[in-house]
Amino acid sequence: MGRDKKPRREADKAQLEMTPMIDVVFQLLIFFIVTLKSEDIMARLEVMRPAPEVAPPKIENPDDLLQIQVWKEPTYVLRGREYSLKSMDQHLRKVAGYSKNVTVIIKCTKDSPHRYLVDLLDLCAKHKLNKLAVFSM
Amino acid sequence: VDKKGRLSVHGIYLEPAVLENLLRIRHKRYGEFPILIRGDLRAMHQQVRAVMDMCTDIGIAKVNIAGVYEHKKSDPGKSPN
Repeated sequence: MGRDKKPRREADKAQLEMTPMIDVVFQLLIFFIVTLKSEDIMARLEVMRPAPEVAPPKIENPDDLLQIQVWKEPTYVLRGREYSLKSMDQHLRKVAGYSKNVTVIIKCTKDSPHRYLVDLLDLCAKHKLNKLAVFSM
Repeated sequence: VDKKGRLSVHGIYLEPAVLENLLRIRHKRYGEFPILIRGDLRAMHQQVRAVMDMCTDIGIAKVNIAGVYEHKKSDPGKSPN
């Protein structure tokens, strides 16, 4: 007598086990949630920090100073040399061509006409020499 | 400041002492206020400087100066008639 082969029922057919797969998926999900590092947004901000060493104080070059005296006659004196308004204009043009950072110190005598000072200030403005100081002698 | 060194405010001539008093009262009342010194181009620097010194004494450190050329006209401070 031979063994009777039982016909396979529909329920005995191979089927995918969902329970362990769900377990594994949840394990992976929990692993990633726990190990994920959220990026700190503040880390992207640029911060300007002071330099470790303070820059040494800038020593003003005496060449950057221009002392012009305003007299009644002659009009302008610069480094012991007399200038008219026209020649002063040319000189200041040269100076301004070299550097605009020149400090112009204007020293006016008491009896110098106000016009001479104003003309000189106009020349400085014309040549964009903005660092000015006016003294009275 | 006119060419003779006389001081005027809004066309009215004032003695230096009166002007100083005026500025002092105004400064006390309102604090610092802008000042434009209009110096005649023919005036002496000394005369313009006197006004600047006056402002400094009162406590007004920031003043503007300008050069003007006043043409002949009726004297300010006087009526045209």
